[in-house]
Amino acid sequence: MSGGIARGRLAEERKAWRKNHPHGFVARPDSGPDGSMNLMIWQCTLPGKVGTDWEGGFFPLAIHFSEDYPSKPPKCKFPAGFFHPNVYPSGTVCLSILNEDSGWRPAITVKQILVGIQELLDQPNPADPAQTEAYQLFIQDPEEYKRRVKLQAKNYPPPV
Amino acid sequence: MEKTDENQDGAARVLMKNDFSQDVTDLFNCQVCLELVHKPVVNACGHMFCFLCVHFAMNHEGESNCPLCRSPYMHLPRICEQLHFFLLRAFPDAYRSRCKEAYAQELRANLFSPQFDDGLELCVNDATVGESSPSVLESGKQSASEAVESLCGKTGLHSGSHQGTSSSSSREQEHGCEMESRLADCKDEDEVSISSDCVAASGLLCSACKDLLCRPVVLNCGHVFCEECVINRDGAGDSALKCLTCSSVHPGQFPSVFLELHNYLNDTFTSEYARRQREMAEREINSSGPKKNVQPSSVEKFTSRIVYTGVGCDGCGIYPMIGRRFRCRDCGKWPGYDLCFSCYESQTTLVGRFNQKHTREHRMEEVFFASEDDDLMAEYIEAADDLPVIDWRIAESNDLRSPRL
Repeated sequence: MSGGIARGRLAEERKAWRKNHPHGFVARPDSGPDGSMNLMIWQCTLPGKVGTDWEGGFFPLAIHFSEDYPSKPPKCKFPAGFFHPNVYPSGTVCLSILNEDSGWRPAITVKQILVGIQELLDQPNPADPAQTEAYQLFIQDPEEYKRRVKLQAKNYPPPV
Repeated sequence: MEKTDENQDGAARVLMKNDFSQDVTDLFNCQVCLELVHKPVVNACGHMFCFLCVHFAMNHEGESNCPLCRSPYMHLPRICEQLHFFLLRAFPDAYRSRCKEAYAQELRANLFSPQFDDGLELCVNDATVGESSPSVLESGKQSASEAVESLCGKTGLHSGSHQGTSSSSSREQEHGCEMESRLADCKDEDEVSISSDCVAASGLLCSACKDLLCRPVVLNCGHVFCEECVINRDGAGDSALKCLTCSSVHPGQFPSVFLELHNYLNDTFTSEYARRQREMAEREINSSGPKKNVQPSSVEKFTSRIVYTGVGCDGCGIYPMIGRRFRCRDCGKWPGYDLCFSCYESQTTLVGRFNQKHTREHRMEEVFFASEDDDLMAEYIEAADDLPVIDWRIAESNDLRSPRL
């Protein structure tokens, strides 16, 4: 059962974002080949935090909203194979505020989601691993983990 | 007349301090749809949302969490009518256009919020029949001063001085009269300050102490009171918290202060509000501390396993319904009219949560619980045996099957 408020809310989110958003972040609804806008999928870029190993990277993130949004959280996806302990091999982000049963609240805005994920990049949650590779390195070989993070940041240069 | 003008200017000045600009309406935004709240409901945690936003955000199968703070709750509160009317008078244009939007949404969802005697049917008619009535909502954007003027005009604050900006319906005028009499009460005290005019005009009075709301709390029935008035109510501490206006039981935790309104009152009626808070603090000292013996009537816990998924009680608003369920045979299939056992027993005559026009003459029937789970059925049947025998007003007229057969 859906109240059909997803699109209305997303239009408001879009308005609020255009009015004010954190520096370096990009978030815009997907546009089809014919130029039509799809409010239900947003293409975003989030910058690695300055002063961390993630600095310099501009990481693409797609946010998929369902018709049940904002009752249900959106799904946030990095490219498949993204290197991070809390990102599934498919690229889906595992974060408490994006989980309906733990931290999601309909009042959480797109801005809060993006800032939350930016925080997560440098502060992974080892209690909730989503992929083996990054998790193992994070736990067992911090030096190699650091190197991989920096390498990945290089692979996502600033958009031109 | 000069005095009136002064008052008017003063009133306008106080109310316009916030300019009725975007910033002020932002104070009253619903955090789910991010727009100006429509038919506001306030949860026990003190957070305000649109009626439909809360309904759709609720969990169909168990305990719900506040969309803002995740505190658990089980009851869809009734709409806070006082706030609804306040928004209508304070932001006539913005609120009316929200009502239009919301009505379109309600049509899509085929689920309608309760209608009040507020002249807004007008706006609904406009939306469906066409732009026929020469109403305020068609007169384009109102300036902030006009908004204030129509607010004060409707309350009879400076009659004759408003220039037709408010083509108020007779209902609104009735409402205005009520305000006027309240205002007259103020004048009796020979102390008509600018702010008390505005206080009366805003309609933000506590219906228990008849003064400006102070640290407002909203009960499950949608009635607003000062926190102190609810704490000090008659018979406090011995029984469940009951509304001072409609005496319906407030389930769950003691309501927290409705902070958005508290902040608004503080910003808008600064001196009046400071006076109210001072008085409250003094009384607390005199009575040797606040009588905070009011305990939550029960900590809400979803204990029952007899759950009617997706069905809510049209009396107390519990959603989903648990225990025993009663349905009206005369209210139609959708959305239907259902009551939980205690609301059924109290023979509530409240209009349904979704504007169903239920009356006492309607026939109610018990809906029996069905489950594939034998243990659960055994539990239900055992519980039903313990429950008091109810008045089977319609027992002969239906084909109910008892679960025991």
